[in-house]
Amino acid sequence: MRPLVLIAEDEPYIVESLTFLIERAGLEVSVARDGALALQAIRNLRPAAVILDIMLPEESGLEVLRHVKGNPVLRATPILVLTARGQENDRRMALALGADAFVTKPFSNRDVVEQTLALVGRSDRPAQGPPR
Amino acid sequence: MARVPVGYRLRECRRKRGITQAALAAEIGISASYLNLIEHGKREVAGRLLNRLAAALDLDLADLTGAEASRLVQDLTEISADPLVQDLGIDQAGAQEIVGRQPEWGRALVRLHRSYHRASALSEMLSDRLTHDATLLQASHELLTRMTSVRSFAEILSEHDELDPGRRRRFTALLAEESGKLGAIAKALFERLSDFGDSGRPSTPAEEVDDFIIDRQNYFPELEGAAEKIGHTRGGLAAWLAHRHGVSVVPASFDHAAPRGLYDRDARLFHAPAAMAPSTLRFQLARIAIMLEDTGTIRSLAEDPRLTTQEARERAVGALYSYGAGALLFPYDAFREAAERVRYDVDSLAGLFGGSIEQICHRLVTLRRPEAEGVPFAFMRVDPAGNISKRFSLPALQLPRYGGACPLWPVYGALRNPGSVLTQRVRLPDGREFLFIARVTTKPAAAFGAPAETHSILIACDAAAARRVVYGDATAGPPLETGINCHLCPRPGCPQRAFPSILAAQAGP
Repeated sequence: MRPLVLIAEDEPYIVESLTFLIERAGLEVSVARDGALALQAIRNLRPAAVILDIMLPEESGLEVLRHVKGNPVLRATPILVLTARGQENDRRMALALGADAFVTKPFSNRDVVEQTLALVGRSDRPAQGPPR
Repeated sequence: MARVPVGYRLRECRRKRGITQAALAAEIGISASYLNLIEHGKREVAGRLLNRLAAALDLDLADLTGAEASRLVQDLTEISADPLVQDLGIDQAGAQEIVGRQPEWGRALVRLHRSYHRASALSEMLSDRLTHDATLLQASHELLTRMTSVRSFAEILSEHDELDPGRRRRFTALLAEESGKLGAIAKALFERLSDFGDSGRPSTPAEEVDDFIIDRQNYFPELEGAAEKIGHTRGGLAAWLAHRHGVSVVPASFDHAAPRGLYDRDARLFHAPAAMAPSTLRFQLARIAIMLEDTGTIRSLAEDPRLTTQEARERAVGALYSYGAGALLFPYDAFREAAERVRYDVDSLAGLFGGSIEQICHRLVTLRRPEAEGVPFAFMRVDPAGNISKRFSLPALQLPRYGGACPLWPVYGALRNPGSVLTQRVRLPDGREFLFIARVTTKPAAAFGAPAETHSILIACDAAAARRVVYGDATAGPPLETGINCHLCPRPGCPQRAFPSILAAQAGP
């Protein structure tokens, strides 16, 4: 089974293009439209990597990051954070919370795909789906 | 320091009128070679000869003595101090030549520079707003989101030739939809940003009004005439206003909102705060008198082309009402005669005419009637933070337009010595000497807890006039070596230097 990438993003068209790109790169995709759902999905699906938008409804991307990196079980999940140009504070905060990589919006597709593949390669999760 | 390029101006005016040097020289009774020396700045020209030249060329004397020209020279010199152009090695003396020969180019440069300054300030303010303004934050998030999907779909379409037609159509449609939204958001964002400031104006309304007044040499004969026509207001201004215009003075119930009172035009009521100083009340009533008696002179003065916006014109109208009030309370001839008699002692004049220190200083600056001129004074007002809120330059003493003045000036020292009058002879880097007189004025708070209004006021006259001025007696010893501001001051080793000097930087071997 192909490694699973969770896309935590509330903008449907960005989700659509990211899904297309990640699937083309040979990975499985799951989507969470807000922070709370993202946390739930990370707990339940144990993805090989997460693409996490920083501006999420319900729980912000930073909150999700804080929960994941503060949780001994989930901590190892590699997280690629999508930040916005000019929001340097968010970037610093995400770095402090333990984000593994950054891509700045508007991103280049190649950047996102390469970074995601690198994180999946680093992941200690076996290339398989959720625990049964 | 800016020297007035009178000769250049004369030469330009003469040429524009198609008059030969010989013809003009003959008309005013000097030799052509002497006129040639004057025109090339090799001989100073002033007094009667300058009057004759102005008359022969049908020129406004103010035009010739170059109140505007020397302001322009100073503005250009300050521009050459801007870090943006410092590496260009601009020759300071060139400013005089530009103003003398091509004043419109000088004006263009100043206008562009002001515009650049405003744009820089605006962008700083906007970047500040962007990080704090919820609406802007939301709009910029939207903008980035749309840009992200547009970029992503565009890259997919250009890089993935293998896309099936259905998907290609879908992504193309999404790209078009997102591009449309992007345009709309950008438009909304720009409209929102433009609310924060009109960046199209070359200078602020306050700067335009300053220029307008300084270029008129702070003297408006039309308003002196209007004030003289009102003349002595028998029984006091309040009674005169009540009798002639039905205006009543009533106690204000909103001291905090309007410390200088509020005039209700429709109800003909002046709401005066209880804590208002008598001199301030009189001045406000005089403004109302000028306003009600004005038959359109002030509005037509404010139609001056230097005032490019309605806001600037309104501001000028306000300044002219205040000028008129000064002229009414301190009638020109009586005031000038008294000023000469008490040797420009501001406290004595305040006592004689019942004015505040600031009003008296202000009026001294306007004693510029040809043939009946007082000692020419420059005037500057700063607040405790160092902001310059009023400035009237002299042709030889151009006060800085951008940033603060020389920190050694007594106008700042006075803030540390409220209650004292500081007098100081100063020498500028060009060798010219002036007498500076500074003091702090404080208007009491309107009520407990309300802020008081504190300013430091500077008046300055040429050192040659110091013996006509009582304050000249108090200055002994050598003059204090100062500059106009740090940028324009080459003096080495000044402990108060805040910025590097462009003059020092240019000093070659």
